[in-house]
Amino acid sequence: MLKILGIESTAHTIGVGIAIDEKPYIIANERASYIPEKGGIHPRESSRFLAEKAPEVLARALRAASTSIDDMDGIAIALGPGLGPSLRVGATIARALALRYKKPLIPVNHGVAHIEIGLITTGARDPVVVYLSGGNTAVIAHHSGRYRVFGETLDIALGNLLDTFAREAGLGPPYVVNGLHVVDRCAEEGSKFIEDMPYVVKGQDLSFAGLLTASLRALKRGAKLEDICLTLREIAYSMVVEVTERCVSHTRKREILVVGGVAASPYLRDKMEWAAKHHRADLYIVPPEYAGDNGAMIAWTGLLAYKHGVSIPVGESYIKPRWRVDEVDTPWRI
Amino acid sequence: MEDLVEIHRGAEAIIYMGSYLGIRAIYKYRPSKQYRPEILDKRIRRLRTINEARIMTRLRLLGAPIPAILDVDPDSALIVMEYIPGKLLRDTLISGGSLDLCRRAGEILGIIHSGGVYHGDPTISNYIVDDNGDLWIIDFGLADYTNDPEDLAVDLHLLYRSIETLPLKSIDKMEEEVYKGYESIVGSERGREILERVRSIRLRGRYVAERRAKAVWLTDQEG
Repeated sequence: MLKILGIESTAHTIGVGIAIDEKPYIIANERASYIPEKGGIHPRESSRFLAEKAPEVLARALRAASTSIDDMDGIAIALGPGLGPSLRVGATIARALALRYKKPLIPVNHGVAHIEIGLITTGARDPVVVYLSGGNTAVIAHHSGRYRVFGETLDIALGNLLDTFAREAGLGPPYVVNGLHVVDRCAEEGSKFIEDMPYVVKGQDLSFAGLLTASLRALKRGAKLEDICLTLREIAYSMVVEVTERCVSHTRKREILVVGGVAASPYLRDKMEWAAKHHRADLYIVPPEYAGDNGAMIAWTGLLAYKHGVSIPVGESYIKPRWRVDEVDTPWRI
Repeated sequence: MEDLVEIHRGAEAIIYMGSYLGIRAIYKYRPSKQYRPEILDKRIRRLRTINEARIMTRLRLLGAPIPAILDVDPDSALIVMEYIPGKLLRDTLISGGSLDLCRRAGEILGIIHSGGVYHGDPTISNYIVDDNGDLWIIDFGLADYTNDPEDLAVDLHLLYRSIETLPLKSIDKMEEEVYKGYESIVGSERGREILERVRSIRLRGRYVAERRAKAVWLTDQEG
């Protein structure tokens, strides 16, 4: 049995997970997330938090799986994409563990990990993947040995749009309460769709920056907050569904998988369900505990990679803040 | 309008064949999407219909060989256009079509770009060779106005890429001809600028452009 320890620290979460190559696949998934009292994520503050919490999270993971680092076959680390200072925290820990315990170091792409954990936890086989989080918005499908980005945001990510608006409107932080984004919740009280807010789909790509600006302007103008949230939500989610639809139509795949921290929205799910039904595709949504950033996804993807001969010398394990999903060969999935 | 036959169902539009005032015609209809609020859905379908029809009209006036618009109904998101009978350029090239067609394909793209418009999907599956051997270009569903050389370079790159998926040996020669045709319309200075951009798009290694080519997704699955 293979046992891989995975470390996630690309943004505001330090996560440690342990994966094995037989059921139940994930035997530990512990984390701590930096939630600023006000404002957004400051990279320096976030990385300080991650460094402080890392030893405790690592210990919790080992305890949860009743195992030790000696017992591992390798250490998987998310080298990117993400915030430099945050990435360095996890990378430093992973390198130290690999050297001290003489374990191979396995580089993992954070985005690929979101996809792989989605596949193993939902049972989807060859889906169009919709990857939605604070820093990423992309529609992806696997083709000839790599995940290919079919469409993506040209500016800010969906999560970024929701969080920034929530912050400016005084709805957060925290941005997600009881599994529901504060913008989603606020929109429930909205009744009127505001005209002339921009809906920007360019071919297969989307753009949210204009929508954010228009929403903030509407706020300043004194429009009802609930109506702005409703309009913002409807436009943003519809855009994502439209691009997804295009990818399904082009690739003729029969499954849609939604992954990432924003995957949980019930309103997005409703819209996706319509699109899936319309294209006779099955809809899968990653379970909540694996939706946000987590160590288990790094461990699991590291395990897949390691089984196919992927590892990296410590001396070459540079962080890659802009490492794209479509730059990663996936020998485990041809 | 009574005898419409569906010939293609895309993500955004459904294409029907029929007749209009006695002429064989294509009906391009954008159905509503129930996941969008009705007011938004109406707005999007209406605007896109108008945008596409306007762009096509503008290009027609510039002499681009594209289908003539016969009727537009923005409120029902419908465009009726002339039907161009013929074969796909892709198929013609595979069965030994001449290099002149490649040059003409480049010229046509040049005409579109000179009109301040990018096509959005100018692959050899969107060019049609009619029964007289004349070349046409169709499907302006992704087209838009632009001044950005990047948009134009992506177009040219898409055309190149679609040629590169052909199972033929003369690809370099074909691309050369495409460029000659393109340059003859936009001028050598502009042509070189765009070609330089095409190179940088490729070097960037981002799949921004590549993924836009349907060819990447479909050709090897089908072939």
